[in-house]
Amino acid sequence: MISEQLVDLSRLQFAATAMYHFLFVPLTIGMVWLLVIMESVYVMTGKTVWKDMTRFWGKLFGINFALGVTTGITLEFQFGTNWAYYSHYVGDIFGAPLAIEGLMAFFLESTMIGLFFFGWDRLPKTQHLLVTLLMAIGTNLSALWILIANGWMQNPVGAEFSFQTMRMEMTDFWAVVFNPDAQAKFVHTVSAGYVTGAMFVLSISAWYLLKGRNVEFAKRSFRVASAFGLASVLSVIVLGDESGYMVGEAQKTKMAAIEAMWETEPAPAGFNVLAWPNETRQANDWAIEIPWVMGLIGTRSLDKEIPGIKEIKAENRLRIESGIHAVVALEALRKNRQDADALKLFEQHKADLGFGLLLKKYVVDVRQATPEMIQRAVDSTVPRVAPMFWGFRVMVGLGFLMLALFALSFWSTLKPGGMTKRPWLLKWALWMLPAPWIACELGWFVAEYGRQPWTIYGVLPTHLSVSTLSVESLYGSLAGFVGFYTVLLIVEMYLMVKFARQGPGSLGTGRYDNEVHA
Amino acid sequence: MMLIWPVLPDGLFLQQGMCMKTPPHSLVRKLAWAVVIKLLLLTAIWWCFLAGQKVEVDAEQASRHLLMRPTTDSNKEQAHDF
Repeated sequence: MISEQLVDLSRLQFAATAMYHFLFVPLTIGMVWLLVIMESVYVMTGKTVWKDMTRFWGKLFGINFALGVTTGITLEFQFGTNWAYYSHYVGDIFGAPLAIEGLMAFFLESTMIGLFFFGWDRLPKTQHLLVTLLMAIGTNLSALWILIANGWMQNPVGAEFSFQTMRMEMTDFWAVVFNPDAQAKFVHTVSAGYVTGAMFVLSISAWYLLKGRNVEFAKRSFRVASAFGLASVLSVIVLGDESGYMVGEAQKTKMAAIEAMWETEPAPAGFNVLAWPNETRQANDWAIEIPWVMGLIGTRSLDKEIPGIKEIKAENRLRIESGIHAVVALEALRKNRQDADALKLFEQHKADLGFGLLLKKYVVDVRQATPEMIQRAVDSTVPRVAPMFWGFRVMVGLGFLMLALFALSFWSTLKPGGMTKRPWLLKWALWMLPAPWIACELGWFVAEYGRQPWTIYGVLPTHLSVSTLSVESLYGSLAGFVGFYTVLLIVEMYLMVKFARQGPGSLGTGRYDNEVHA
Repeated sequence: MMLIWPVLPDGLFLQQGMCMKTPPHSLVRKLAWAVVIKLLLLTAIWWCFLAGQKVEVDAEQASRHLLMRPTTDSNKEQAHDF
């Protein structure tokens, strides 16, 4: 029997390592384009300061990459070690994008990163710029394949279950690649990375300006970061809206939980700006609502309804009842693969197989499921509302706060005296440094916690996906990961703070404050 | 990354000037060590906690796992069998 403790520990371990990994990823994805911009200006103008900017920010990029690399590998290994049944069930589809990502990360991204750091004195200017551009493309393509894999977990298209092999089998590779959910997630996620890179450069440049150090270097960096950040944060908001629309189409439970929408409202539904969701009452204790807005955002229409949690649960009850037939038929087919009646019954109900499997958490033989067990399975199909509701709103709130900061920063660069005459803006930029990381982590939390109780939405329940490891080994490996990653984070902080404080003087060019002499 | 925020302005890690003695190539050395130590520690975690617990799954095993048995300890009558 799979214990709930084992499932919870496996989820906790994956969540901890994924959230840690995503401290590094957005900065890598975003900063690499800032390097492309800075180096392009250097190649076009020949001004050395732009080369120094590329090299200095590239150094911080390199620290982030070196400390972040391998943290993603543990995630991929966990699919095999901790999620063996998941890997069997969906490996035919999920494995392809992960393998392509691995090849791309190792051969394109890593090669170009090596050439970027060690090619300054060995490659002509334009060739080095090409290397930086390819490094940026490689980094972003890695993200594409990961998000194609993740998008398939949210919206499993282009695949079909085979009772012969007891796994999902790919029927259309291009449907998986061009899964609208994956594409929307990709552009939203990489844009969030661009915002992170821009905020990193903006904040540290603001600190130099506040300290009056390396002012010309910092002004240029601030200018590039504010322009790039403004464009990126606008993209995040627009593309986030698209991503949200896709959620409304493919994952109604997630959408309803994010909006704390318990009842189906007449179209167009209102938007709960703030509310206090009450799980016990299945209602909001209070809410501040803007009429029509949710209907317009969620359905792009005035006459389409957005189903509430209670209506979704009623639909899911029917699917669970249908799923019982699918499970029974599948059991019969596994005993006799020529059983025509079982095959016919299975074909009728196989779309609801995953819903039937939800009952396996409560009973051996799904035919013996009591109304109470079915009710528990129905209730489990919707994630807890309050964490979803607040996680989403904090993420969106931070997004708009960053929009204001980047807009004002960009505006300040166009004014006489620029940003140096506005210390309040520089301090604001400095203190906003953690904002994109918090927003990114919350975004992932909403995406992944909101997918529960499934690993593959509507197909494979989480509790059936885990490996039958011992709880003791999971406690051990979890403690190992947490301890090890904490040490890594401290090392990352130490190196980042050290080289950020040192500034472009760490290049040893003789042109900046805090010069290093080798 | 986020922790830079509180420590950067106050210089909790380094006093002004301390870092100026660091030659540029020392960063490459530190990063190389970090990567090597990381790989060693990850291997150690895998070896200690996971290597001995191989879970092999084929169609029959998946069938037994998904269909034939209970998957929770919320039903106390079920036995622990792993």
